[in-house]
Amino acid sequence: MNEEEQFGWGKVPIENLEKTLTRRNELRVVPSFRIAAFNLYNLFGKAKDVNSRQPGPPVTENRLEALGKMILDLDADAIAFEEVQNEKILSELFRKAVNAKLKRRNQRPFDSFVVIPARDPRGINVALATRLAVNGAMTFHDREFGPRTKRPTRFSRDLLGVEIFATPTYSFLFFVAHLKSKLGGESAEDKRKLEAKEIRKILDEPAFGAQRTFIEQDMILAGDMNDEPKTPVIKRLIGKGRNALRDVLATVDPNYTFPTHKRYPKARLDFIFASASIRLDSPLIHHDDPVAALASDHYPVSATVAVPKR
Amino acid sequence: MRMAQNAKYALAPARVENLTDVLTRRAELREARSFRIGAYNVYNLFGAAPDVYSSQPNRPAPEEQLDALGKMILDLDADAIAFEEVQNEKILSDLFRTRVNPVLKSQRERAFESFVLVPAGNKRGINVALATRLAVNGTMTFHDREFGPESEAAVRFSRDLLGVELYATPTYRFLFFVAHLKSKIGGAAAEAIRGVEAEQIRSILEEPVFGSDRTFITQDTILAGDMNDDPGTRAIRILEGSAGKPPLRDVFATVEPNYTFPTHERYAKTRLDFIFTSPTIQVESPVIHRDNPAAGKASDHYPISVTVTIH
Repeated sequence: MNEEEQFGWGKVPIENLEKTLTRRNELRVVPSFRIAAFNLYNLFGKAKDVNSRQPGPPVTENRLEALGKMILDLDADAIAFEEVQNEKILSELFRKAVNAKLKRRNQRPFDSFVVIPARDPRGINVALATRLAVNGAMTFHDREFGPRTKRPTRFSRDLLGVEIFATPTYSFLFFVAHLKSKLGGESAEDKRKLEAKEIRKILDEPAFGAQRTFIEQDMILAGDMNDEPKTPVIKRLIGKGRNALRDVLATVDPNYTFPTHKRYPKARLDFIFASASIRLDSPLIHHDDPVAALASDHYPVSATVAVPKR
Repeated sequence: MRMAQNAKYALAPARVENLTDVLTRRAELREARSFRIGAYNVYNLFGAAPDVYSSQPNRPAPEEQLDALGKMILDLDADAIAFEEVQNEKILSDLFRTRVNPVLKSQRERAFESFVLVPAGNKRGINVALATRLAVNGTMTFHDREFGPESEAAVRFSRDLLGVELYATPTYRFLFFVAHLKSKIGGAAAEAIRGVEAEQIRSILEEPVFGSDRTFITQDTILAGDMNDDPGTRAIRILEGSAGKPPLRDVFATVEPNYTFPTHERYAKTRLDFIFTSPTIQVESPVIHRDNPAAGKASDHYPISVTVTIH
C-alpha cells in the first residue's frame, strides 16, 4: 500500500553507535579479555517507552558522567548490566560518557547493546553491552514455571543469554540475571528460589534442541542475585558436583558490592559465576573510584577470561 | 535492591501486561495429535502509545483494520502465529485482547497469552513477532549479529530472525523461526541484501549456535514469514538450500492459486509469504486464507496456515 505522506516514516531513535560493526572474522586474536557486571540503579531515560512508562526520574548528566567513569575503569569488553530501562538510554550512556573517551585513547568503542524488554513492573531490564561480536541472544522471559500447586510465574527480569565471539574462533555464553528484590520478605525469597531453580534448569537441560547443555560449555552467569553468598538461593545457583558453578568473587576481600552509601549493612549481592571449563582470574570489586556512590548503589565487578590455546 | 523512590515518580506499572492470569506451563498442555500454525504480514500494525524503539513511524492502525485483523486471525484457527510488520508487543497484545481472545473465550477455546517481540531497530519501526497459546520454552534473536561479504560494510538483519522454541504438548517441541526479508522496494541493492539475509538464515540453521552440537535444520523446524521475493527467485532458492545441504521445503509450492499479495488490485499477484519446513517436521493442509471479505481491510497480504502433525 502507499504510505500516507502526512505520517512519513519516523526516524527510529535507536541507531547503531558506530558505522563499523564487528564481524567475528574481524576480531583480533587475543590471549585474554575482561568481562564485568554492574547494577546501574534505575538507569531511566527521558524518552517515552511503551514498555515502561517513566518509572522514575531520568538519570542526571552528573550521574551519566559518573557511570561512564566507572564503566571506563572496568576496562571490560563485555559488560552485564541490571536496572536498565531500555536500549536507548544505555546507548546514550555509552555514546556520551564512554565511547568518546575510548576513541581518544585509540581503543575500540562499544557497538552492540542487547536489551530485551521483559515487562518488569519496575520498568527495569537486564542488558549486555559489548565491543566483541554477538552471534545471537536468548531470552527466557516468556517461559512459565513454578510448582504445579501454585500459579505459574515468570522471571522478574528475564534471564538473558548472549553468545559472544571474543576472537575469530573463541566463543562463550554470557548470561545476565537480576533476581527478585530482597524487599518483600519471605515471598520475595521464595520467588528468588524459584528463579534460581529455573536458571539452573535452563543451564542444566539442553535447550533449542541441543544435546549439550549450556553448563557444559564455556559460560558465565553474572548479575545482581539479590542474595548473599551461602544463602539457599546462591547455593541453588551454584549447584553440586562436576557441573557446579564457581563463584569467581568468593575470595575477594573486602567482599561486598552493596551499598555504596552508609544506610544499609554491607553485603555482596553481585556475582560472576563461571562454568567448570571457562578460565577466569583477577576478580575485582571496584570499590576505589570516588564517583562510585554518585553512579549507583552497587559497586561493579569484573574478571579476566583467558582464551584457550588451540 | 533499590534506594527510596522520588515521590514525584511513583512506580508506574509496565504498559504491556499479560493478557490472562493463566499462563501455560509445558506440563499443563493437552495431548494432541496435531496443531495449526500461521504466518501473517499485518501491514504496519502501529499503535498510538509512544515507543522509545520507534517514534510513531506511521498512523496508528485504525479500528477498521484492527477489527478486520481480528476476524482474519480467528479464521486461521492457529495455535502459534508468526507476524510481520508489528510495531511493538503492546499493539499486538491489544489486538488479541480486544478482538481475538474474547471470541475464543466465548467459544470456550484457549486464549493467546504469549507475545514474543524483540525490538530490532528497524528504520521503518516494524518488527517480526510470534503469538501463541502453546508453551514458550525460550526465544532466540539474531538482530545483533553482523554479517555480509568482508569486502563491504557489515550488515544486520533488516528485521531480525526471531526463533522460538515451543512445546505443543508436554513432550513435543519444535522451533518456529520468523523472518521478514528486505523490502522489494530498492531494486538490485535490496535484492542483494535479501540474498545476504537468506544466506545468513541458512548459516544460522545449518551451523550450531549457542554451543550446541546439533543444528536447527536437523530438528523439527519451521521458518515462516514474508520473504519479499517470489518462488524460484535467488533469495528463495538460497533459503531452500543447495545440493547436498538439508533442504527446506516450501509447503505452499503446490497450492492453487498461488499468491499471498496483494489483497488489492494495484499490483500483480505474487506469493511473498512462505512456510518452510525442515526434513523431519510433518505438515499438511496448507491454506492461503483469501476467502474472508475482511482480508483487504486487514492487510495487503493474505495470511497462510498449515497443520503440524505430532509424531
